[in-house]
Amino acid sequence: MITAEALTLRPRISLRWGISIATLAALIVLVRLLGLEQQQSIQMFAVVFTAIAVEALPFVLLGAIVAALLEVYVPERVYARVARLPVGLQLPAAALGGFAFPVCECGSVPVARRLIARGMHPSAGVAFMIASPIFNPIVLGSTWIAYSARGLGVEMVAGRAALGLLLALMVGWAIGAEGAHDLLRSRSDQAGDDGVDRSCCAAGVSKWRAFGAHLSADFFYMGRFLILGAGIAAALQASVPQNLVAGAASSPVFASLALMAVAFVSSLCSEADAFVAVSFTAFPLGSQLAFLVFGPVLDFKLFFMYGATFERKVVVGLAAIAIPFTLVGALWFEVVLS
Amino acid sequence: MIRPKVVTVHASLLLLWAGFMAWLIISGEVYQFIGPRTLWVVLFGAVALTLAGFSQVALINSSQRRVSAKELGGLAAFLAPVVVLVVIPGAGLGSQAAARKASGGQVSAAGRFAPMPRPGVEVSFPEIAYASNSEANAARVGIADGYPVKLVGFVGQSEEIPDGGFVLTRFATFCCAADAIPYSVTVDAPTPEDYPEDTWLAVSGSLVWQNGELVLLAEDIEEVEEPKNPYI
Repeated sequence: MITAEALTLRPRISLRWGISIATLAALIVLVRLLGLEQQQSIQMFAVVFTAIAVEALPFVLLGAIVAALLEVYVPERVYARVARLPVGLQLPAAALGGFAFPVCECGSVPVARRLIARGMHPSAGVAFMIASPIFNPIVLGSTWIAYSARGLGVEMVAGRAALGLLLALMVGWAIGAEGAHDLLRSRSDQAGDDGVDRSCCAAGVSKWRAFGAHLSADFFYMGRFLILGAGIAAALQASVPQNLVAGAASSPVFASLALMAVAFVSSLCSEADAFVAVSFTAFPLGSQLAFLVFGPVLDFKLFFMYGATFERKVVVGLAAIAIPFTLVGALWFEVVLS
Repeated sequence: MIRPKVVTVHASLLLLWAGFMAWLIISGEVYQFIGPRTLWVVLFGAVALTLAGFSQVALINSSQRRVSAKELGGLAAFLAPVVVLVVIPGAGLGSQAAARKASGGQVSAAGRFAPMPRPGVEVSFPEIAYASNSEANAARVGIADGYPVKLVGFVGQSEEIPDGGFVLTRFATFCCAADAIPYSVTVDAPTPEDYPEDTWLAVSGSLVWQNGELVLLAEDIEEVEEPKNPYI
């Protein structure tokens, strides 16, 4: 039976679709009339923006799948048991656990959020989130491949793993000292605090329905910030020449800061960033290590994803620790190598 | 005002993205964005997004919550990459992108590090870049004065090339276009001809040392279509 509500809804939906399609058509005509689609900087933006989104969204989905599995299928008693462990044990175990979760940084954020929300000590959750994009077999393997031709595969892998782990422990210890409620940001724009539409998952509803609800809540919440970060990273890549930072290469301190800035702007996947880092031949090795450690911890897309997950003070605190710690570690690495 | 259910919007977006990724693979457009080593990510994405989309379809009848205006704004972000490609079709990285992505001033093979090539691989831009760093490197990959080579690339931007010459450029990707690295080789053309930037050319000739770098002494230059996979 067709209800009165359905009869009034149809024209409204049709009107909205009509307006949306007309707006898109007008945009296409405007871009063509102005010849904007022929401009290389516009094309570069389109390619880099789409590339980051297409490459990273499957990893966000993978992270959301793991997070939903942790939420729905891992019993409460497991988290209760983990929560009773001393922080001194949880923290290093979580950081080292990154080795068993070989996805890039986009996947680790929703997993860390879910772990903290379920009772893992915030220090351990944050340490896992920072360590897993650096200290995982795929990332370390690609680092070794990129630098082995220069005879520096072992040194760079060891430097990246060690500095990444230490940074994860340091950030986890410093930031995670606060309780989960002070750390995690509630999702006030959605149904529950965790963003899950519970109308589908009332008591007695099957677990796979709850799994689907958690999966979509995490994916769509994180994904939008990934796309926002990808857009800004692409716009900066298309407008700012990399050789602007080339002048800093002669000073180890400025070289490291410059490549950390490049890593923040570029928003590269940690599984491929070593191939880019190795191309900065004019820069000291320590600054290349800074690029490899800082990028997976903080870049444009992560900035927005962290902002969506944690309170603002967490993001500020993370940057306040990661920048000087990475800088000092990179300089120390330079001294050791020389 | 009546708005659609959240799960309906979620299912639509997940299936749209699954279709988008499938279209990228089937049409071959994926090569403009993703490197050959990580094509599996797009394939995984297409399959996983399809499954996730159907998981939301299954929730439509049992879920009642309707999407708010604020949520719609956030969810609209997921349309942005698709809309960008509709508005700017056939976008690609060209000579200006190569200049933007070069970490040194001049986009030159000699100024860049290139990983040591695998044995038996056909000599291309990265191998020439590696060889161009020193004669020892060149000997290591078996490139000597007069080494015959055929390269396909586009005409890049250059300020220091003598009349009649140009730089031939090609990007290498590892993960996606965001990490693309430009490789360029200077071409010494037999007859001066002003090729517009971004023209795709197949250049045959031999590699010779000039001013401390390997230069391609062209014997035959032919304009070609952009390859399906523009990256190496």
